[in-house]
Amino acid sequence: MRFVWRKFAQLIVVVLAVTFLSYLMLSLLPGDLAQVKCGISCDQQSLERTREELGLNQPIPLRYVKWLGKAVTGDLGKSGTNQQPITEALQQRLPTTIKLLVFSQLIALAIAVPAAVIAAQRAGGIFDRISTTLAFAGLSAPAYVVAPVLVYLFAVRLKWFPATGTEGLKSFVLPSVTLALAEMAAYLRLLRSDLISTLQEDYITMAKAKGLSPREVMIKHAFRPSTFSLVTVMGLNAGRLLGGTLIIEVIFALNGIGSYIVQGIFSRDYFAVQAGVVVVAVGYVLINFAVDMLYAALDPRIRHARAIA
Amino acid sequence: MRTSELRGSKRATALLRVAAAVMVISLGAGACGSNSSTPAGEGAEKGAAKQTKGGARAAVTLATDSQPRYGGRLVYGLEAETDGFNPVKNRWAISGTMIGLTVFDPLVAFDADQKPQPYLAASFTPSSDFKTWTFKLRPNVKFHDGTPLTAAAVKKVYDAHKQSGLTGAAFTPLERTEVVDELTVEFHMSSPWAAFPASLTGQGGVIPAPAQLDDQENSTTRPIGTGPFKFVSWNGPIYVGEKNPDYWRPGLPYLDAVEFRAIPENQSRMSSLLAGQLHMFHTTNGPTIIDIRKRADAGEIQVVEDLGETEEGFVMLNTSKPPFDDVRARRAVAYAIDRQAYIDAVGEGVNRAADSVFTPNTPWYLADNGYPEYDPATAQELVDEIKREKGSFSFRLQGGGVDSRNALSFLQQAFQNVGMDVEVETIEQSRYIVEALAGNYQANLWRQFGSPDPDFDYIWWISDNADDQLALNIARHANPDIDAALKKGRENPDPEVRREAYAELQRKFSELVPYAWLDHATWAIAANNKVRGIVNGPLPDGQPSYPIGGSGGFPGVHRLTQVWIAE
Repeated sequence: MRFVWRKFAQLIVVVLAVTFLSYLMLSLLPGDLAQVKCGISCDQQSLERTREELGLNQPIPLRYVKWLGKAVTGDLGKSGTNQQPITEALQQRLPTTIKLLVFSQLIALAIAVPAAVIAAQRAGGIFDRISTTLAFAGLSAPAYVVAPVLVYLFAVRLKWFPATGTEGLKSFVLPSVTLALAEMAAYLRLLRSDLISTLQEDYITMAKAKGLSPREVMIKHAFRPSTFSLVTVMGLNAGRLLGGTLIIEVIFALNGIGSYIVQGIFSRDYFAVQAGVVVVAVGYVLINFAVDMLYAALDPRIRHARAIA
Repeated sequence: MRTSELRGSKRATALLRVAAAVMVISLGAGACGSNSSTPAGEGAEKGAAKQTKGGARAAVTLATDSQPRYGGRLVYGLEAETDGFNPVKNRWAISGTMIGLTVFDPLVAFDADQKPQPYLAASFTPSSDFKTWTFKLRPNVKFHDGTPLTAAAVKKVYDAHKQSGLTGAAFTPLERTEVVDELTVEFHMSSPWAAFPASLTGQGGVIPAPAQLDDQENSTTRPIGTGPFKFVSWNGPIYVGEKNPDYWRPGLPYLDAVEFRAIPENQSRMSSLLAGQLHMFHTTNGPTIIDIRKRADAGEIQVVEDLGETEEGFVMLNTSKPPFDDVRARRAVAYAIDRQAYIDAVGEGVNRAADSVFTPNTPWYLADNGYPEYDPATAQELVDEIKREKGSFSFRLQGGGVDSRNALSFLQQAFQNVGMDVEVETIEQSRYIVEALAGNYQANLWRQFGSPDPDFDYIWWISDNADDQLALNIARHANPDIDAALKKGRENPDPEVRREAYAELQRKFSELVPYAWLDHATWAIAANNKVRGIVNGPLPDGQPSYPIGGSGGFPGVHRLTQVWIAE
């Protein structure tokens, strides 16, 4: 329980730090929300008035504290450009981003785990070599290159999946696969090498000596202990993926958190970007919190160590 | 396909004369099937010209299935989101105007001759001194909330415009608006304004319901108009409207619903059209337009290009600061630019080179307006002369946003070739605009002036606006002859007099070079082969409409009122 509380306290500190820093950075960027709002034929007077209306005249720390006070009550303000309540926009958009993340992770794991198991069982074999090469290719191809290729093949030519949009699960296939490709490669390589080193442990030799089949050895004895680094990397990746959705959501016109942040950046919509960043930061911290919990489940030693400490 | 091209070309020649704004339509073979044998009819909606690179003009007929088909939901890909739908508070660029014209109706629309005609208004008549305009409204028109369109509702809109920091400047001469009777409203001007109706075709002319303007909380997010499609939902990137069953134009609209999706990536819009998520989209992006043309030639899709008045790309020179307070320096800039080479290098050769603020396809264009042709030797001479007198010729050339980088480096090279000392810099877009308004620049890469009626751009050129702290006359170019021409064009109703006034404007622009012209933007609308009525159909009183662009001073805009989807 203390473990949970400590993680929770960490979460709050991280969120405060991230929100303040991003608030600061956004405020220091060139560009003027008031000018954007007020328009090209806006005179000095109306510019000042707009600035006042938006509260841009106050010092940054004060603006931040005010924003924070409202944010904890769930009021993230209204978009500075289109007046939509930001909480409402996030509610509409969060499911899209979550779906995208979950699907991409599922696709990545569905391919990486079996491939790693097969490759590790015959390390240096033909499957191992082919999958490692392909994984390397997957890792080195950036999403903004993969995405147009997938769109051209599977949306424009074959018309199997939509090129853009968020209707139905079908429209998540191409963006999820794009995101999954790089993840899958990383997971495959990681799990494969962990499995190979686990398979050299004494207790595996022991298990083999007991006469267990290679399959039993793999699943019952080798697999679980080999997944620690995979889980760690998945947690860390989830944060990176949240960032990766910025590009992917723009390319696939998925209206999630990523495209919301991008749109906000281009229109100097501080409040929207701020809220988007908070969602990403909180999401990142929560995912890693979950990863820590998962460790405890995967490896009893962690639970015990913490109980003692 | 071949024969219909030949047949169409004759029609197109006629059309060029009829429709002042010219556009390009190319039609997919799929849509050009058996029922496209009908030759193009009168009016712009049915035929047009197709321009191939190098200026050759060919033409095709746009497929015209015998009867418009009712029903269906049309999905349109926009280049950008808009900030809301209150015409008094928001800022409609092309995307905003596209949506705005589905939920609202403008009082006025341009006809094929580029003349303002009544749209939501039944008629408009000026007083003899053009200081009073009387607008009669169409009877029995209802807003989407069921309230009737009245003179009071119209007055409310223009009173609000006058109060607006955003739109007020466009209505400077408008003193007050008066309700005469239930359906008659009078606009009183402080000075003659013959071109007033031309300001009422887009954001400045649409009439929202009083209830929308009164709704402090939702006036920008819940549009209530008289238009063909009622507002259903909007979440930023996606806007949905449904058919207004009580629309005042009989038998319209054909579609059951319209959906606009803002997809800022050009390539994503293109793929979405090809993969079937969009029925149509618009773009100004060179590589995308080339792709569209190729596919249209192959019969995969349809394309309409706006070759009427579009925005000009140009180098805006700050005439209040050295070195460009010296007209010789400004001329040197003009002489130094090979415009076609610029277009080929920067925009894949899609745009048309500009030597005037108007395109050759408008009645305002003056062919031999004296704009300096590319002549590096003369540029070099001018530069040397200035250097001898003043010691140096150096300036900073700026562009808004990273997209301008290629253009900036091309121009830097061109200017350096003739001995100018040029630094380039890209600046974030919103700061770029403020700094320009504030006069903190020497030379800026700029894009503006897309209105079919030159009076719309009056505020950007008149001397009165040249010396404010934030000056709408951003080049700060004050010239009494230009003022006289602008006033003549504003105050005089006679097209010949106006044409001469704007001819004078062009001669002065060419002589004094506050703007070094580069190109005319190209707006293309790509559609799948099932979409019909892409270019504007006839106006409410039956006149052929300005085929595309013009509304609110924007190129590329068109109404979806008469669009339908074939089976």
